[in-house]
Formats: sequence, structure tokens, C-alpha cells
Amino acid sequence: MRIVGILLPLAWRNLWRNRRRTLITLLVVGVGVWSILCFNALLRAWADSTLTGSLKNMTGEAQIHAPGYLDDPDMQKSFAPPAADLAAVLNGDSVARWAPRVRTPAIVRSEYKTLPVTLTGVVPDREQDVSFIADAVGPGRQLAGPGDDGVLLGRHLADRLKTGLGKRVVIMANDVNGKLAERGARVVGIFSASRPMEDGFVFTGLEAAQAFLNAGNRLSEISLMTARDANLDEVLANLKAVAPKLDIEGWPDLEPMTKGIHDLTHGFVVIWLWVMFVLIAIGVVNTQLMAVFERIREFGLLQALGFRPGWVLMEVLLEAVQIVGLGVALGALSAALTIFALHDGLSLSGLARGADFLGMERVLYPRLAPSEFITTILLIWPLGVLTALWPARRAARFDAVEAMRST
Amino acid sequence: MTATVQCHDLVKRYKQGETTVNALKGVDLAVEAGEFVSISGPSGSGKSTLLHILGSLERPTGGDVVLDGVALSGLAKSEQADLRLNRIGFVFQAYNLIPVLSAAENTAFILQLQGMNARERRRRAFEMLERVGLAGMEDRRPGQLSGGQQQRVAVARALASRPAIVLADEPTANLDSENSDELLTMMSELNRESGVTFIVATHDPRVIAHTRRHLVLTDGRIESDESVAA
Repeated sequence: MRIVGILLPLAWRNLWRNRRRTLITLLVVGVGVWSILCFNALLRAWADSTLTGSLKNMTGEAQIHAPGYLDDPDMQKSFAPPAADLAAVLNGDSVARWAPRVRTPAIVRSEYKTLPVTLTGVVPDREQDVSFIADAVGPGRQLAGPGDDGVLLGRHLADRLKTGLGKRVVIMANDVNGKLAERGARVVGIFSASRPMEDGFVFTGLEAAQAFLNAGNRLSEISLMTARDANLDEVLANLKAVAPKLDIEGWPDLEPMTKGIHDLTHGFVVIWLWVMFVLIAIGVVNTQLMAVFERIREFGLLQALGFRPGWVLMEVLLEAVQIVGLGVALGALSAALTIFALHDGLSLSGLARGADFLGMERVLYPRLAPSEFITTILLIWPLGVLTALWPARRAARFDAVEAMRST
Repeated sequence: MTATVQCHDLVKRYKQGETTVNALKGVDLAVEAGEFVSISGPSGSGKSTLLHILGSLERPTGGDVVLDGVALSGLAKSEQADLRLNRIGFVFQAYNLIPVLSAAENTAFILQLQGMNARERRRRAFEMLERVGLAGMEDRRPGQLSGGQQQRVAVARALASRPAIVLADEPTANLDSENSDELLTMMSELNRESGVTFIVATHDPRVIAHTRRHLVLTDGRIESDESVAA
């Protein structure tokens, strides 16, 4: 430790012998770390946005169905409203919101066109924070309640049907007994969402849909969002324990593509981290090698004066410790400031169509947990220092006499 | 008197491609404590090689060296480094100082490595710099000192740790005659005052004139060994 105390200030002074080179190295390390952290924060924001958008596209974090419904989603595979045990879990602290639905394949027909859709009976208030439909209606009005028999059409579907607000459409679907049911309904609202949602869904009141499909009070789906601190797997386990005869699945199983994108995001972050690390390593090795070869005579002198080879190695490594440490600190600080500056969100309004296509929300909220900051710093700093091991070993292996003779 | 340096049948061979160069061909030498010895000879005669072997910077191919009671053969690299740190002072032809340290810090550097406390090594460094005529220049970095002043700092550093021997390789080679004379006078005085043994490899007749014993090395052998009236 005494030797470290001697070498540390010496290493610091050596760093500033060539200010320009040191500043360039600091820039390389700092920009590298900044880009790793910011890229990480943006990718996570993108992944979160994609996930949130996907979950709000009628999936939720978990869903409850009758067995076989997901393979053949018709009203014959419906289930009774939650019994006391299931209702207790759904209304407990681990579930933030849940929405009961009727959801079945249907045909919607206007004067001009007939198109396949999914007829979905909802309780509008219960859809708040569970699906997009709670906030997406306009022009027109939201469904007044579960008994409202008006329908909400997507903007694009309405265009394709050549229909609009206040007009009537005909809806046909198999009822709970497998018989074709048909009724007319007035378009009370037009909703805006992603194209697949606009084209694929027609909404009406839950009770109106149950009546239309002769389903009594039976449901085809419950969608739920967990509480902020709840663990999805634990919630699923609790639900399965009280409703063992129902299919209960979380979003990773319901939306494997979203899960894949989410997992891929982590992979991208790791790839980016290594790409940037290689650039940082090249920068550090290059500058340290130059610094070592410029000081061959000095290392020879130090050895002649009684420096052990290990001290020479330590001297070069301590230079790397300081320059990489300072670069990492600068990069982390600038990344923190950048992410803080974007805490109100990064608007994607210019990319609205693309964002909709990808199921993303139109504002990204970059964020990075302090633990991720610290993990990145604790990874890059020592690895950056380790890359200086090569030039450091070269310096330690110089023969003192040969080194003193070099010009 | 006790011998600070004893060499017996010292041989050094270098491989240069296919040929072998015999730098030292059986050198026997004893240097007593407090002597001021110069070694001269033509280029390639083995002066620097002998100095490097005495300073434990190179290993001999054959023969024995005992420095201040320590047999150098068989020392590990770290033991050689410790020997240089604690018992040998070096003054080289050029590039003697660590550029990022001030004159006082350079002088105190070996003391610092030896573990001396900050106050004592500062006191010793200032005292040595005053003795070599550099009082008031303690905070100057090597780049702010002339060549002669840098050599004086190197001498101050070499003596600050009170080594058994100071080995100087062409210390005046890069100095003008005035600076050379000043440096040599100062080294002679320090040799007398401190009793530290000096061995200087040189081409310079002025250096030889300041020493009290003069060896001439030719083709790796000691051709003459004369005491000189100081």
C-alpha cells in the first residue's frame, strides 16, 4: 500500500504530461460510457413502451379464460363471473386493475361492406389502465356503461366500411349455444389506436354483448394489471390456486413476440456494451502503449534506481485506473444529466406512424436504475484497466540497460 | 580498509547474431570504501558493462562480484532491485531525472521508496540540494533546469540515501567544461566529506584528473591500475 501511495500521484502527473492525448482518451472513454448508458436507457424505454403498448392492446399483464378459449375463442368457451375466492385475489393488493369482458369473433356489416372483427363487450370504467379503449374514443362518445348497446368502431374500420358516427351497422356472431345471432347497432364513437386494433375490434357494453350472445352473466375473458410492486409469477400462482379449472396466463405466454422483443432488448444492450467496450479498450491500449514507448528510458531509469518490475507494472496500471476512472465518471455523469433532461419524455410525434406500427407509445421515457449505473461503472472501469495490462507488462519487461540506451 | 567492491575473474559475453562479443575477459578488481575511482578506455572496452555489472543491472557470464558484502550472483530480480535501491547510487550520462517530479522530489524519491517519513526526506533533500549548489531551485522541474543543474540533482539524489557506492557513467559527457569542472569538484568534495565510494566510467581527462585511482580497460581487461595524487 505504501508503494501505491507513492505511485498514485506519480501516475496522475504522468497522465498530464501529454494533455491532448489524455483528453482524447478521456473523451473516448467518456463518450463510450455515455453511449452505453444512454443507449441502455433509450432501449429500455423503447422496450417498456412496446410492452406497455402491447399490453394495452387488449392483453393486459395476465388473462383468465375458460379452457380451450385461446385456441378457439367463441362464446361456448365462456366462464361464470369470479367466485368469492377468485374475486378476493382480483380485488386484493397484488392486482391493480381488472376488467371482465366478452370477446368473440363476429362479422360487422355496413351498407357497403362486410368485414370480420372481434366483438368485445366491456365495462368502460374497468378498462381504465387495462386497455387502450378507455382513452381512445373520439369523435363520438365513450360507451355509457355495461348496458350501452351502441358500438365503437376503429377509425380505419369505419373508413373501410364506409360508415361513420351515428350510422347503423349489423353485427353477427355465434351465441353461447353456437347459434348465429344478429342485431343492428348504432355507431356511437370512433376510436383511434394501432391499425390492427382499429381494424380488428368492435366494442359494445358488456351486458349488451352478454344479452346479444344469450350468455347471461358469463364472461369470456378477464384481463388484469398487477400492482406496481407485485411479482407477476406470484400473482399468477395465486390466481391458479383459487381457480384451477380456468386458463390463467401471463403476458409472456400470451404475447411471445413482445416477450421476444423485450428479451432482445437486453441482448442489444449487452452487444452495444461490448462494442463500445472494445472501442474504449482500443483507445486505452493505444494511448497507454504510446505513453509506455515514449518513456522507455524513464522506465529503465526507474529500474536502475531500484524499482521492482512489479512496481513498473503497477505504475502503468495506476495511470489506467485514473484515466479510465475519470472517463467513466465523466461519461456516467453526462449520461445521468442526459437522461434527467429527458425525464419528461422523448416525443416520437415525428415518427407517429412507425410508433403505432411497432405498438409503441408516442413518448419514450428513458430511465436507468441507479443499480444499472453502478453495474456498468463497475464493469467498464476494471475491464478498461485490465486492457492496460498489456502495455504495463511491456513496460515491466524492459531491460533496464537496454531501456537506458534507447533513444 | 574494507573492500566495497570485489570482482574476481569477471567475464561477460554477448551474443550478436552469429558472433559472440567478449565484453569482459576476466576482470579482477577490489575497490576500498571511500575511494574515488575512474575507469577509462576506448569505446567497446567494457567500461559501461563493468559498471552495469557492479550496479547489478546486468549479470556476468562468469566470475563473482561482492558489493558491500553482498554476493550478486544468484540474486533474484527483486533482490537486485532492492540492492540498487538501498546500497547503490547512480548518475547517468543523461536523462537522469523523473520529468514530472521537482528537483526536491527527485532527490527525495529513493528515500520515499525506502520508506523515510515525509519531513525527514524533505529535510535531507533540501540539505543535499544545498550541498550541490541548488538551494532555491528545489521546486523546479527537470525541464526548468540546465544540463549541469540536472546532473547536480542526480548526484544529490545518488548521495541522499547514503549508499555504499555511487556509480557514474559518463556524468560529464553532455556538459560544457565549466559545468563539468563544477560537477567534478563537487563530487570530489562529497566523496571526501561523506566517505562514499565513487566509481566513474569516463572518456574525459578532466574526470580522471579529479579521481584518486585510475583504471584503464582495454578489450575487456584491466590494462593499468594507478593511484593518482589528488
